[in-house]
Amino acid sequence: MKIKIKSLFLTMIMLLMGIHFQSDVYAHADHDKDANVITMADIVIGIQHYATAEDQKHLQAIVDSDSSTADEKIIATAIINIQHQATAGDKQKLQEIIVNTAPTSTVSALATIVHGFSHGISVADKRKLQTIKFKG
Amino acid sequence: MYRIFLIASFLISFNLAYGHGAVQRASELTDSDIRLFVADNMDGSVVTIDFPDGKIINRVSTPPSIMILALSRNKQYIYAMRGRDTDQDVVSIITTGFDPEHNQFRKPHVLRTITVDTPGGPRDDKMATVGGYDAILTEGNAEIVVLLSEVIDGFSELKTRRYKLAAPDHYHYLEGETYLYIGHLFNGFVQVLDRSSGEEVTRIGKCPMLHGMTRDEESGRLFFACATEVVVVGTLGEEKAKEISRIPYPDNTGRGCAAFFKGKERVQWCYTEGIIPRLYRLDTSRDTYKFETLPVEPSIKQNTTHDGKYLMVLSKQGVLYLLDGLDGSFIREIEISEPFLGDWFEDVGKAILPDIESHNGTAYITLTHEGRIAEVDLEQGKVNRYIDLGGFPTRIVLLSKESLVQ
Repeated sequence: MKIKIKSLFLTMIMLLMGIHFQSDVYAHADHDKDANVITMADIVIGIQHYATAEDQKHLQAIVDSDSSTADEKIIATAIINIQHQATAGDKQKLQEIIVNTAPTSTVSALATIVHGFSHGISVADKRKLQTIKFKG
Repeated sequence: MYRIFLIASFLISFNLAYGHGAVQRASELTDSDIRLFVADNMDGSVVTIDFPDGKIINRVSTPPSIMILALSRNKQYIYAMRGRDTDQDVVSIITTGFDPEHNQFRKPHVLRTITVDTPGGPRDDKMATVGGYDAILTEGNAEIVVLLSEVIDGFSELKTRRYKLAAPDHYHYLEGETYLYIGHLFNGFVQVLDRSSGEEVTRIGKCPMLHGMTRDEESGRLFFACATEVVVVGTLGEEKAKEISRIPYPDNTGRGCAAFFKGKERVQWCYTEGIIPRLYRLDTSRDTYKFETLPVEPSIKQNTTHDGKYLMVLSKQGVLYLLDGLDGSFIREIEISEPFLGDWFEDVGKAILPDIESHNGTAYITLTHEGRIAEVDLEQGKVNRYIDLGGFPTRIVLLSKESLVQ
């Protein structure tokens, strides 16, 4: 019995070490792919004046998900509410995200683009969103 | 009646001939000093750009998600290896387009695309070699596949020799004088094979998460980076296939080496993949090896110039820092692009990171996020121009004409 517990303990230690070192090799790890931001970027690229019913379904799923961050929920809600442009109330919330997050973060970039949405997005903004999608 | 028939026959004959008339065959030969091959991972094509014109020559379509772009030993071929984001792995072999008869370049084209199991092996944009032949390390079925054909075309049989490796793994490979040294990442050892017989000579172990390696040309020693230290292995004389020493990483830096760059004299620079604010410096001319730390801006790509004069560090903010290749002292900074937004972690699915190559004081940088390449004058500290590719340009192979002309 003692030997079995010792073996089990050693196996657990080795597994934990393996998990630890695995994550150390960044080039080969399966990183969190920023899924919600990518989904929203993909939707905003295609929006003409307002989000389609299909888009709204995906966005509502982000709003309803416990795993979504508060910022992601605000951005998703703002996209759902877009009618040619974001509502004044949503713009205010987006502005808070822009102020409070690093300007080089993808969340900040997405919030900025949704904040400035006017019937569609500019070519430069489209490129930014395509890059967010590309890099994952 | 006969005359009418004759005239009609003539007319029909001339009419038929129009579709097959002689045309002037225009030469596609072009003269250039530098040819860049760029992997565009928007659609998996290889874009060829010639300099000094900066003209896009063509786009060669290869299977999507290029992970590795590498030049063959004889500089006649480019290998485009696919990443692991699908269940089929392929390698496309492309001509460089160099025509030795005319001493000029033609348009590259794909010679053949072959299926292999998880291809790898190249280092510093060059193919792995065994005895002077290009080799592909197939990580899925644990083999080194050596391509023995001097000339690769679309018709001829591709002659190969295969070496069996210890286990499927991610390999870091270097060739010694008579032995082959294959670092196994997950298995944590360096397997040494006899090149002639293919038999295993030894294994040098206790190197968990082995990732990255380099060679000191003067001593012939190889440096394999493990999770906690670097293992030094000899390749010449008495040292052959023996562990020489282990170099611990500097304290409290958190992470080890993942790739090395050759600096000035016998200095090697190394970095850890991911966005990090430091590089390591190793002077391989010293009797006792020791790492030193160089603080840098969080950087997304690094490289040295071929003469080792400059260490080039591209920051996440889009600034290229030019540092001395010997001691890392700051020389100048050059604004290159907009910042790279968000996290840029490259996994084995496909290449996403920018790349830096240089030649005679000019650097070429793929700006993946902006879909273009910056041509940078390192001495003047300015961007000469941008070349728009669209797409998502990543890996670069640089081929200079002077390296081809004997």
